[in-house]
Amino acid sequence: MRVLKAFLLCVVCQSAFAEKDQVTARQWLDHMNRAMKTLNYRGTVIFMKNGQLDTMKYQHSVENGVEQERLASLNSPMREVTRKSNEVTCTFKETSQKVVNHHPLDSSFIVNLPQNTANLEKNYQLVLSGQESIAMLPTQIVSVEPTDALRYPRKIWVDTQHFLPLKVEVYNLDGSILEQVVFTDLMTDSLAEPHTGNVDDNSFHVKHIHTAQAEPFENATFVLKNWPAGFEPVFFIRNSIQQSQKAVDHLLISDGFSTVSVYLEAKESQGMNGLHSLGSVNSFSKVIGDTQFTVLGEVPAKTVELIADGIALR
Amino acid sequence: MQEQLNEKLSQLIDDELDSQQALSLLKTLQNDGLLKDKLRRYQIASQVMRSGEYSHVTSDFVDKIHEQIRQEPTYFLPRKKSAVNWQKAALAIAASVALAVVWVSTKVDKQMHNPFGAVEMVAQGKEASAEEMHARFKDYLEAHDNAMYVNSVQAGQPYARVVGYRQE
Repeated sequence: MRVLKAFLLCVVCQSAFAEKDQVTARQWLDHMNRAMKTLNYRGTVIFMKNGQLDTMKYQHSVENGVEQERLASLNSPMREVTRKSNEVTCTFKETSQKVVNHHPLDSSFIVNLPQNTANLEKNYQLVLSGQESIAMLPTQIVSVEPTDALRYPRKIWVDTQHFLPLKVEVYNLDGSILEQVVFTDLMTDSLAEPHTGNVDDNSFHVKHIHTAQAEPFENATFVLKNWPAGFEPVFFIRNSIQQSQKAVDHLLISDGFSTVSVYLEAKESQGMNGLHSLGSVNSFSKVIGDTQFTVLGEVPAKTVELIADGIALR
Repeated sequence: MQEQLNEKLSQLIDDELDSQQALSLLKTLQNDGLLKDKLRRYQIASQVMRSGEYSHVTSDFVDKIHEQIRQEPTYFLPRKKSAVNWQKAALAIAASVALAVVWVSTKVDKQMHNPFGAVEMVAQGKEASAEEMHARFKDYLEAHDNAMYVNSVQAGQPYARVVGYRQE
């Protein structure tokens, strides 16, 4: 009887491992997407962006179906960033300022992922490329290789137990690392841990930005003739830019991993023309008549130039 | 004689001596501490007149560089046939070092005042509007993505300090 039990256990384990072995790269991403939205987890995460290293405490929780993320910096400038669905609040402790950003897209601080991976493989090659341990947890590496040179390649290390992303690397087209996000420890919680903010609201100067509601895409006064395959419009909004309080039309397009914004505003005395770069973010500005356009996103420089070239007024 | 030397020192700083004269003067300088001090004073005066700023280079600056060169690892590469004239080589190094001191003294202080000088150079000619463009870039980033708050450079410092700009 014991031998039979042991045999059955072996069969169950083997089939479980076999099932995990047969999971495709796309399924790993789907599992990860679900895990990121439904699990309660926390840990320490390191962001390496633009030559800057930031270590933050991270916490993700789901309460009544509403996702919450919380990041607290461990080093100066001391700040705490919370995301409740699509509302992001950044509290700068040193300057007693609080900025509440009402962003229409509720994207994760850790990694952007497409909601629907069905069409992803038209523009990206998804490959399982080995296993490694991150934060002492076994992970499956999923390589996301674009099929054109208009977006960045990336790799995601997915925790094999809970399907959470433990490490993300974004590469330049020459293969050098542009950005890295790595967990140094991660633990899951069965229940959402209550948010214990130690910030007294009254002592902070609160500023709300980008409070406008998204509008239909047809309301945009411009059209994009060129954009890379796989990109889709996500939202169109008329907002005011923080510094000048000028009205700016903002169209955001995304292929799931990368997002690109197109901004339209009235040209100022000196129009902006040319390319700006900061790490993985590139922007290209041009003037058409009295209108200033800027295309900005985490895509290579030639992508923002391509999109900017195809802008036309309706 | 002294006046001639003073004149030559001044010419050396202004890069008006030919190579023969410069080498001869540098050779004299090596053995004359007072003359070295005078050269330093002339350099400071020249720097202040040109830029209105002053940077102090310690008197043992050259010696430190000599020491650093001495401590460089030795590479045992195949030796060429021609024998090295060590006297000439030492003189050439001394000349290079002295010129480096003149050059460094004019650059170091400016950089201390503005560590982001290189960034501004990229935006030369459009300096007034470059600041506006950097501020606008930050605004656009803020509207684009939440990820900006993660990065301490983006969240805590003005963009003028960190963004490179390339005019078409």
